[in-house]
Amino acid sequence: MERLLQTVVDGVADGSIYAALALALVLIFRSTGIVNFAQGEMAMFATFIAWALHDGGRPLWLALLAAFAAAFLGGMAIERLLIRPVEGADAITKVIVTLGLFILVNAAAGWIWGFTNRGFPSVFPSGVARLGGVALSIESLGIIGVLLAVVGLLGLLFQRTKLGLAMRAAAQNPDSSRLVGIRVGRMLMLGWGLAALLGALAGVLVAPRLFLDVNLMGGVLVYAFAGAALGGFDSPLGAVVGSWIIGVTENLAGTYVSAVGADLKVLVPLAVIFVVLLVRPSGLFGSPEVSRT
Amino acid sequence: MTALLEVEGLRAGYGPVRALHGVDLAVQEGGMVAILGPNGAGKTTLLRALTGMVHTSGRISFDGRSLAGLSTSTIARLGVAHVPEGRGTFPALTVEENLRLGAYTRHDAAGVRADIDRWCRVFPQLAERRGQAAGNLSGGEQQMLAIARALLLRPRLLLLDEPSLGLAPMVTRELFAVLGLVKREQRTTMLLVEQNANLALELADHAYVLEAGRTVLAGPAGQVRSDEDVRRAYLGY
Repeated sequence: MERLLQTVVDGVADGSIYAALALALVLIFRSTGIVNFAQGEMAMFATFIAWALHDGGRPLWLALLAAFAAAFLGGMAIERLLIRPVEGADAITKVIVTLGLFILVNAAAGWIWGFTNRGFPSVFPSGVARLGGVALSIESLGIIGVLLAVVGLLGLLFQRTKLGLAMRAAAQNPDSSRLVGIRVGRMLMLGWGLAALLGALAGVLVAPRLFLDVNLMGGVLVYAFAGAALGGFDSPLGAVVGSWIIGVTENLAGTYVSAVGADLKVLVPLAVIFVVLLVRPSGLFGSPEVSRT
Repeated sequence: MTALLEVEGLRAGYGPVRALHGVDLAVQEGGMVAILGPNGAGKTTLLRALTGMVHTSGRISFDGRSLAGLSTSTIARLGVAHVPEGRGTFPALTVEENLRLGAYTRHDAAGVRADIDRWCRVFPQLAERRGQAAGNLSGGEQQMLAIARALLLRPRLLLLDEPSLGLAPMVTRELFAVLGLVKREQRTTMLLVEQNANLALELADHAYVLEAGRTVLAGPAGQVRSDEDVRRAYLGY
């Protein structure tokens, strides 16, 4: 029983990391209709910035803060310089641009920081917390707490502020948004900045659990895609719930199904993507737009 | 009276296709001007040109300031509201959110709330559905929402593109009654593109007839209404 609970909590924690990246994917997909394959690499790059600053003797909190700021600004710059020129282009062109960005960022990180593994410190203490007699990892609980806080803040931004309303409007109907005076380009830049920030968060949360190298986010991106596909690619709530389901399923399968084990865990999200696409392509929470003209 | 909007030799088009070949018009402050003409005459393009949604050449002067080359959002900030063809509401957002977006450029929160309440009284159908997604409204209600949203900008110039399109005659009457109210009470300057020439000429004080991207006739609404050719072509009697 204790083992089951531990596995589930660890699964939700893993799922929360995927959820941060899945939210980034959903944010960009909703606003620009682009599936950003480079989201994971951008996150890895930001994580390396944090690592380099920390390795150079800066306190961890400062290194993280600087990495988040760099991710935010970098995301905005990428939108302005690389994505804006292909705004009106067809889907395949945009996909190729983000794939190119994937390769570019990956190679740049390797060129700057090399291809070896680095250890990355966790912001959470290593021990366990006893909750109702069950020993749960403080790190896992902390990750879940961080994600819940982020989801709450995003909810406040998008549902309660004028800026959030303008961002939703710009994503939905750019022409009408301009007609009411919204600077749509700025909203899209802001969206990419926020997405990059979420990705960086996923990066620094997952790095202590793995090792930091240029391929840090490869696996996480696959899980985040699975979570977003399961939840519905246009639904932030779906991205979180979907990612949690993926995280828990993956951990349960790894722990209890001996044929799967640690090596074949990655098959779980791939199977999920496959089944979702077959059975319910719009995902659990994704809905076709309600509109009447 | 001085002209709030003056247009001279306006040309506009989509890529290589020209839709306007030199249009001249003037709208007086507080006045209402109707643009008539057959499908494809360039009426919608004219409105889109005024709010920077298509490439243009020629002179557009609004309150003495040139609008040439300004972005759509900047033109909106100068006080030009545009209710586009097909209404352009935000279907997944609520009626209330749509209205709040109309006031996006304003910073007087209390005034915005008062205006939202006011237009909800003028359009009771919107008041009943404030919390619902705009996509669930009927065509007439969507048009009312689009107009109310444009008015929330407190525009100095309101551009309306075929507000009666696809609406039942009764709904159209109701809508035009509200436009009359806006004209009388708000003294909002309006430029109205309309297929229903009869209705438009009842309300407008001035009218222009566009054909194949050119102004072919202009004058006070009453005069245009009694013009033999216009009557035969657009009024159907």
